[in-house]
Amino acid sequence: MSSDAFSSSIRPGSSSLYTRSHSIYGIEDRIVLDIGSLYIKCGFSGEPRPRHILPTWSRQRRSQASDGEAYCISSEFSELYELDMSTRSSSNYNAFEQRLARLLHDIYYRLLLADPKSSKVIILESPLLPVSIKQTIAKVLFQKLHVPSVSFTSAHLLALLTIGQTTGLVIDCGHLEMTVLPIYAARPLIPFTCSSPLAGRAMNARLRKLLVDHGRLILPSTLHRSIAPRTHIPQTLLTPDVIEDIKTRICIVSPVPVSGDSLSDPVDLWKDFSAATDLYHPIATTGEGKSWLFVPGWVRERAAEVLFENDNDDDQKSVVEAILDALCKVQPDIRKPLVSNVLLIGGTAMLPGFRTRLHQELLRVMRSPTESEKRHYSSVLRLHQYLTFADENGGDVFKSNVRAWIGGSLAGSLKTSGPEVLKERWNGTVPDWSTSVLNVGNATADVQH
Amino acid sequence: MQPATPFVYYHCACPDFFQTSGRSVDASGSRDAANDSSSASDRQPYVPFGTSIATDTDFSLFPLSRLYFCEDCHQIRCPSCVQDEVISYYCPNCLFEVPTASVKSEKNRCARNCFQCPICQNTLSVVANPDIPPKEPGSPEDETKPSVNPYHLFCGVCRWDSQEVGITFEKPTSLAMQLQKSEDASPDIKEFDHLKEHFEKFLRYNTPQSLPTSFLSLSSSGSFSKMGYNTSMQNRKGNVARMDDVGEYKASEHIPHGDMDVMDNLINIQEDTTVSNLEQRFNQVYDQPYDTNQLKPQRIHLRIKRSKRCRTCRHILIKPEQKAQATRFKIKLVAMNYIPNITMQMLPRKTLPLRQNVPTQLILKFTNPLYEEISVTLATPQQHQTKGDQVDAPEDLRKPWGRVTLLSPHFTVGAYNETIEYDDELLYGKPSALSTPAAATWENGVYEKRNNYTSILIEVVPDYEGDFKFPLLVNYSYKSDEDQLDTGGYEDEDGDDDDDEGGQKRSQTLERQPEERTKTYSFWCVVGLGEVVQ
Repeated sequence: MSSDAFSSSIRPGSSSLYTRSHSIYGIEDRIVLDIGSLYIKCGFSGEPRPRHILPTWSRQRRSQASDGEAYCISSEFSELYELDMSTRSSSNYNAFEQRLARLLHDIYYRLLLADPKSSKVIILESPLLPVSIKQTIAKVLFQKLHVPSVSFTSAHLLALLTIGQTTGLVIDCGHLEMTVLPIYAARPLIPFTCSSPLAGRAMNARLRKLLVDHGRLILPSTLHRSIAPRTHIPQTLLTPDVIEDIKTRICIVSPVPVSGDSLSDPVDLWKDFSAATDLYHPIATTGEGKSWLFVPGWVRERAAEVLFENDNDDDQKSVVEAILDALCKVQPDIRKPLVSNVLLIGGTAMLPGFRTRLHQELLRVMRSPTESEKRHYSSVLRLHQYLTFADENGGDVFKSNVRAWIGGSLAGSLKTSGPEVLKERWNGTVPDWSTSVLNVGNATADVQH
Repeated sequence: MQPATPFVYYHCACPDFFQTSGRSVDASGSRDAANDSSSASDRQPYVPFGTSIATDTDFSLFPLSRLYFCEDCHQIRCPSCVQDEVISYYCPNCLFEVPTASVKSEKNRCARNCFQCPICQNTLSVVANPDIPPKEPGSPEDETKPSVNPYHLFCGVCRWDSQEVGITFEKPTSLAMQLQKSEDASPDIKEFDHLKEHFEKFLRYNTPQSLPTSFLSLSSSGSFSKMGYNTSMQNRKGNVARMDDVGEYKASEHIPHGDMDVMDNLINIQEDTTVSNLEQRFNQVYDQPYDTNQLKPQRIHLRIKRSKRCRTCRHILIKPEQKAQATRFKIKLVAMNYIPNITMQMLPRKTLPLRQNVPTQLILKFTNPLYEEISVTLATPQQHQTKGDQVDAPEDLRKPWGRVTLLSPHFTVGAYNETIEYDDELLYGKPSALSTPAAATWENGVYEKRNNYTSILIEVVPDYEGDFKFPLLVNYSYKSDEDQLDTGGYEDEDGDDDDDEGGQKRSQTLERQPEERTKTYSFWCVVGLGEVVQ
């Protein structure tokens, strides 16, 4: 059933479909890396799932104390890079480079167990990733690890490959930002990108604020936790990894949107219209006994509202606004195929209920828009009849946070990828849409020259 | 956070990567990468700045135990600047050495009986259920009874049981084989293969015979050229089956989104003990279940033994033995055997912690591992608060850390001798010919000079609260009577250098002396003394 033309060798003794397409010596395999700000997905091409998902703050620190030394301690939860890298001082830059070098070294020698010199590398990129970050990634790979070649490929386009299409509207909800990129016939329409910082990090901030204001800490006591005395949660207890833990385990996206006017405090509305139960989250504090964090049910249900809040602010669009903006920017004749193939990727999109709520909100805006929404988006509102989420077909076979990686693996196994930068020809720059000129092979370019 | 304990960290300048002359000396001859605008490749000479050194994340500072020394280059190498090569693969649990072909086919996991607990990631042990008798090989298959297997996995730490997820085994060996079928039946594998076929069909039609240009490379560079490339536009007439875009695709596998079920579950819980956390979920990437009851045990990941090589001269610095059980090294060029070991000691009747603005004296002990006597010169950088320095440092942390006075910046340390360890008199000893009388010569700043170590006095006056660290430049030289062809020495410009030009190293050609030559080497280190209190 599977393509014999591309399986290079049949291994004796192993009859699984999975292993057949690898060559024994692994020369054909490329290494696919999706370097996010919090998690790096790594693995070999031709495999349907990444081998590992590595947090970027793990094993980066060493410590020495009176009872000994340790070398691979997880440091504090922190992003690997920021989106404004170019404005940072060069000492921070060095720190980023060294941290990335250690992570990549770890990936090759502890996780993938591969010799870096023998496999080409495919790196997934987002259209708004700063060029300096790409250059640093290329520099570390070429100078420290001596990989033979690196090719940067659009993550959004690769994600579309996993549904068998090359046209669609891809929404990447990550940690630092949320990006909407329309793609038509395998061409990413980068000028029509929309992005917004309302993503994982914004939700962490909102969750933190809600917990500080409305959550409670129950210190160890002899009374049962439902009647034990409660205090406010000190800010220092809500470290970023505690917040991330709470967000990824018990937060959901409410299926019930509440629309209040902008003057009233939404907290009361949320309290009334939320169904989730209150929850006790164990937390470690100094001292004997178990402490609990009391998380009100509405807090964990409504912390994600920040992603859907329309702020009338051009810089902080909600997911729905970004999608509609992108549709408006694009030419009218391709809007219909785009809206019929909407694909959600990214870690933040894996929150339970996110898909359903997004679908609902989109339909609501398109079918019954408010006055300001009518003004902004009048040209695209009637497209609601064509709105389909592209993964209805396959469903949940591939998870959203690894879908882009899987697309990269698919592309690598088909021997296609973005423009390849060979180590011998690397001169410090990397190909990027912001710095490249039109292809020389283009007919119009020839005429101009 | 525990208060910092005193330490001495050595700095490795990683000279292979950071040459200020701008030429990369990488032995593989890669192109000069310093022409580009990024300033990171043009590193300035290193001068550490006291309190601004974040020793837990500064990746160029290492304790002596982590450093290597390349004899030919006569330089320190750190774990970041050596080149690693794989020697062998082994399973950390059963210590079985895995051949390279199996490593790739089993995807870097142990193919025998090693599994890790999905909850706590500790090793699982195989346990037999005493109630169920093991299957007799000759007995007939009993159709009426459901097959109950006697063996299952058990975690000794968190007491997780594989029977909870329905995994049991017929035999206690080759467990991975028994689970192979269920692993291969995963729907994402089938869907992936189906997608591959779909795209291969499309690429076959659209790729011209000459060059396999990909549709991805054109589009991602932003060009909007027609997908049918210029060459194939001529044979447009002949090629009937061209497709401009991939056709309709129907997924072969359909799994309904479990989103709403997960949400219904989460809405009603009161405690999150049955909800998996990210680390557990990432062990099962294809599934990433929210429920801990759906987590399956994974095979244990293999590890490698590596050999380390110097990047400039390609000599092997560390070579372990191939067998997994052996912990010895065939080649072991570690810095401990070449550069002096610096440790600290408090004077009797004085204790830590240091006090602010109170001069404190303490002892730095230099132990010489070489067979020749070395002469050591120490220096500390002069502290500036001006902005016009060449080294880029964090702006807010350039204040002087305090005053450090080296009472004897220049001294010698005796040679190492195997008999030192055997001669009790020398080791514990009474003053003998090799050591100088104790308290009388404190005025020289040398507290004690014995065998192969020398202890000197330093005085510190911390200016600020917090962790107290200061950098120290150590320059030592010795007469070596080896016959070497290359000039291996790096010489510092001046022994007593108190300005912050940093560890500039100019290699000089020394006069070739047939029998002996003076070798020098200098390095920076950071000495930390713990917290300073009021």
